Amino acid sequence: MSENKIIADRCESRSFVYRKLASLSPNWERSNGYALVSQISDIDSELHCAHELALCDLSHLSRIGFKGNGTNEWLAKQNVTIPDNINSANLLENGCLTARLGSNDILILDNLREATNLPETLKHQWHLDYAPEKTACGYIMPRQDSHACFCVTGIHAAELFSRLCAIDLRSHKFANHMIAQTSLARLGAIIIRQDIRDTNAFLVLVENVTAEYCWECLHDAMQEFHGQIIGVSTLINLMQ
Amino acid sequence: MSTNINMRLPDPKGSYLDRTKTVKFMFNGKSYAGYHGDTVASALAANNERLLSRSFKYHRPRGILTMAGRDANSLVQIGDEPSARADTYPISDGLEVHAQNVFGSLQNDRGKLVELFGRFLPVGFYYKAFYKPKGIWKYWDSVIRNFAGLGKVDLDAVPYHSDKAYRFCDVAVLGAGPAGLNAALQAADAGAEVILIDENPQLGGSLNYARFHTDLTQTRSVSEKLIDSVTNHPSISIYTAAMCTGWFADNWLAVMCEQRLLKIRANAVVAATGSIEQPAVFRNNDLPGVMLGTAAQRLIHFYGVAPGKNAVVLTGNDDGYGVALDLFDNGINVKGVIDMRAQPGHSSLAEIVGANGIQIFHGHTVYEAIPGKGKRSIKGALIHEISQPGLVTENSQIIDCDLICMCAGYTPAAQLLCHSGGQLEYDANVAMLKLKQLPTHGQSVAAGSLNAVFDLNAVMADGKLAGWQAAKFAGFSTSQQPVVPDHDGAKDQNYPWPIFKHPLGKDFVDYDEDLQVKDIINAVKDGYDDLELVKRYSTVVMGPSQGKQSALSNLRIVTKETERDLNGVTVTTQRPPFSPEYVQHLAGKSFQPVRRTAMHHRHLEQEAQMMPAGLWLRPAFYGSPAQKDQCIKEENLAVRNNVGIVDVSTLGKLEIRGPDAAEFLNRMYTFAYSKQPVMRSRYVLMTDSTGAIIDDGVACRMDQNIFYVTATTGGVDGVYRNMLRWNAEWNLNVDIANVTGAYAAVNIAGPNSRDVLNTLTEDINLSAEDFAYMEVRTGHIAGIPARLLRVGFVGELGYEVHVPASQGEALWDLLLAAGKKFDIRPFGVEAQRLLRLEKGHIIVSQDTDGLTIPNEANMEWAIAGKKPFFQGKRAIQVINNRAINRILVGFELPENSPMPLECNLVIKDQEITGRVTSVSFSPTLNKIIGLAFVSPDKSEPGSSIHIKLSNGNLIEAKVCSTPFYDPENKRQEM
Repeated sequence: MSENKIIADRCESRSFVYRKLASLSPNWERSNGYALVSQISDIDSELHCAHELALCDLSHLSRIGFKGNGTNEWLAKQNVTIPDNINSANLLENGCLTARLGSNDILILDNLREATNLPETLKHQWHLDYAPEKTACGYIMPRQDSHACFCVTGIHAAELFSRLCAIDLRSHKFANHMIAQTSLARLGAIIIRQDIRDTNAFLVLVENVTAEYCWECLHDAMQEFHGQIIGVSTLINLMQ
Repeated sequence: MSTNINMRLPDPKGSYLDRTKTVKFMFNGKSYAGYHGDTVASALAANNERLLSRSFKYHRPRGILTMAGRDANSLVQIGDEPSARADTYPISDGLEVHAQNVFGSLQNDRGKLVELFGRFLPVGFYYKAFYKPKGIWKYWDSVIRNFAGLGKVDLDAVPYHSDKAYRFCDVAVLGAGPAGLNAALQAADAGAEVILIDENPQLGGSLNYARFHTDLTQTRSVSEKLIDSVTNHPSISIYTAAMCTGWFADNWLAVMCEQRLLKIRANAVVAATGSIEQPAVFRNNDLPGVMLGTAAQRLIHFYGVAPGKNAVVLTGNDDGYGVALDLFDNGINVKGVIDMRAQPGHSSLAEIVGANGIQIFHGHTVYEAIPGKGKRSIKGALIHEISQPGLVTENSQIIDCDLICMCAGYTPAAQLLCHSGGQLEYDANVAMLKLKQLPTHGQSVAAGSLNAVFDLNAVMADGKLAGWQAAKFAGFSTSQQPVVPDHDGAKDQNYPWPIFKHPLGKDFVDYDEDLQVKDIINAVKDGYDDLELVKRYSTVVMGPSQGKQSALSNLRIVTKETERDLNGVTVTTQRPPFSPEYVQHLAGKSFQPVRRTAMHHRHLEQEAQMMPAGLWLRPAFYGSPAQKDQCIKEENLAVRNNVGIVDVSTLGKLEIRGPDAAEFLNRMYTFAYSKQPVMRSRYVLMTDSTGAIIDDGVACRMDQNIFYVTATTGGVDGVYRNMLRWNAEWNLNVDIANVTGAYAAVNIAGPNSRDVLNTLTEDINLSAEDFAYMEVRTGHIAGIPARLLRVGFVGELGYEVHVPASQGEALWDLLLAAGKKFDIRPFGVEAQRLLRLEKGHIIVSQDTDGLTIPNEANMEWAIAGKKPFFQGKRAIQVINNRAINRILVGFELPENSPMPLECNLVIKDQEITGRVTSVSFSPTLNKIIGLAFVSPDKSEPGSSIHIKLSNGNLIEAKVCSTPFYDPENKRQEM
């Protein structure tokens, strides 16, 4: 067992693809109870890949969902701006992303670059506000654990998805912050276009238990375009 | 045929060729040379090799017919690929090509002897013969299969990579001929994103080989300009050498392109697939040297090959004169143009043909092709004057020739349109099948000769109009609507009756299946008087070319023989694929999702043997497969006597939240939940509207308004769908969340399970007094937030521990580490099933089937009869008023009995009364136990039942009460 892997499987929370990542002998860091891959090869090489085609595991990224009657009103009280339309996302001023998956089904992802802990804060506040006799604040959806989160970046990203998914995700057809809840390699998936500055980028959320399979499919499809797996530091670097 | 003669035309003829690159390949063991860009057939033709194959039934010699991959004459074996099309398959160095369907050699195929017995093999002979005397079919079956095979599949062939991909566009244009190119340009200029698809390696379609003008340079000039504009247009994506094989609902186009199946989604589609030239029907019209006029033109213009030395052109339209001119211009001696029309039109092409001294025979036909040696070529054409449709006078002459080009007319290449609802019908005014209806789902346009427009200027304008319309369909506001100039449509393109039945036959309607005119007539005489029936009886249009050359002639003959009016007649159903598809295209890169629990890799590390459970993989048992029974036994005893742990993450998990949550459960499940205390769990049993059991689990009340409900591994998705569907109707104030993947779960069970857990919990009192059976707690296991359920599925003191999925592996590690001093043992699904069997617990879908009602499974206790409603209640009430005819009971077998299998039948008085649903050897009880459906009169403990083993033997079993183990439930409640 490699030293890298030992670190990864000592964490209380573990990405469902940490073994895949460990096989690449990456640099690990701890975040949010997880071991995350900060980098695999040199930064210039990874940045180049990020512009062309790259895959990054963001399973550590803090996220939560709220769903049910009263969700939108309660979130508004917490100063969380919800997108006007279903299947669209909103970038908050603090860098968090709110994604509207249904009329009262909201997914919130923390800022990758600088964690705000908004999901944890909201979870804590929900427990304070929730009372069985007063159910107007929706219910928590355990998105941190129900879904793995990957990021696909680069100019070939839409072509990559065209091998796995029947939705046209090309830039001129699928605008930034649009969401597709669709089938990806026959898996239910949430795909959110979330460009990183000028780089085309998509967040892919699939059920945790299918994360390894999804990762394999994405990785296989990437080979046509010489895509690479990159670390979180590279994505953060792209944001700067 | 000598192969020393070089039929290659001088450079620059042959637009597909790169004459700087010579390619050598083998055909039937002999080496041939061609150029890069040649196909197998063109390279062989350049070497004056005309014989490509033998026909399917009579083993007649066959050569080039279409040069477009649309006929069975060109089928050859290439490497490990059977039935490759020699006229479109590109040559490459070292390519090994063989004739197929021959006995001996291609030149001297012993199979040709079949033709001598042709009169004993009439249409439908296989329906009339081979069944007498009784049992003889077994003999004929192998003989016929031996004869019928086309090519050989290499079972050791190494598969190679192929995959699938989606493509998207506003407008897809099928066909890159003059209409398609203009349509693509027009749509792209309007702002649409266009995908242009063509089966040929170059854009241009008929512009690249057909004559159109007396001056060929005019046609080429038009072509070059168009292609240049299309190629350089930024909004047009071009796929050449790409075959669209199917057009499905909502403009889903299947396109085979190299090693990939492209699944194209288009907002609108322009079909500009052109038309397919039709052969004339006369005696020996199938022999090498008889080909379509367009095939000769393709040979000349694409491949720079002279199709013959002395040619006769049989025509029914002006295009035949274009063929004659192409032949003439390239040094081929045109011995005559045989124009079936008594009164030809006023074509400028005809005038030039005449001016060049080529003899024209009006009102004549080729009545017979005179075979050369061994029928492997032709040496002349017997021409006759036509007296009336299909008949000739005695006035005849023979013209020596080695090539007969047939230009009898066209049929629209509308197969793709017809896949999605388009329809053709015969228009007697122009003697042609024409589009009656476009695809029913709209957003499609037809253009060019497919649309019965043949004049080149009109074709181009028609393409523009189609592109304009398609762009409009796709939502692009476009400029002024293009206008199609006046034109003659399809007038004079098709000769109405190019069918000349010969008294000696061999006048082929369908080359694929060796069907002659008399075969079609006899099929009608046999009573099959409808096109669809003739098709199935005679197999006409059912061969590899799917009627591309035979459907029109067949339609004409059948209609005439049934004395119906040709006008308005439709063709037989046309189904995908339009062209043969490689299985690799369909099979390549399919997706089979796999669900792995958080602890999956830990199981593998602990030598678990995994088994599928729906999409999940679960440990069946831990250890060597050779030691399976021993492993399961040890796992079983570990739980009974010590402590075991099983991964139950695959259990379905649902959260029902809201003020109406209890009411919702009351309606979805058979039990009552309104008064269920918080932090208690209760069994749930779901029935469908027929009263049949469809799922079970437990419902944990987490607070007044929140229930955490488990479901079976395989059933949860259906349960979730059911819940959403019903609540859409009931509109109760609940939120339903499927959180199956969000929680990992284990069941730690056995007398020492409490002690193991105690080492890891600080905020949960695990004592029997504080945490009783069927109670629920929330807290932490070594810091991991957890929901603990005291359940008794395996019949021992046990806890289901549910934690966030990302912490599932950590939980597993912690529990195994904590259990080490207790010698904790992981157990798999096999041991779990055995443990629950010992407790007499059913598994829904194993011990029940799609009809099992609660009474049959002894589950009346799980029904709250006082509830006003639950799904299935009414059906259960009705069924309960009738006597049931089976009941699930426990049984045991005497010592040393053979082991029945699940699904072995329960027999009573030679009648089937039930079946074994579960059976296993219990190491705890030291005997074979099981569950089985039996007739009610045999359901009392102590009754004797008989089980029929797989080998047919009956064994006697004794019905006994359940649970088999710990009937007082003391162990699980300790």
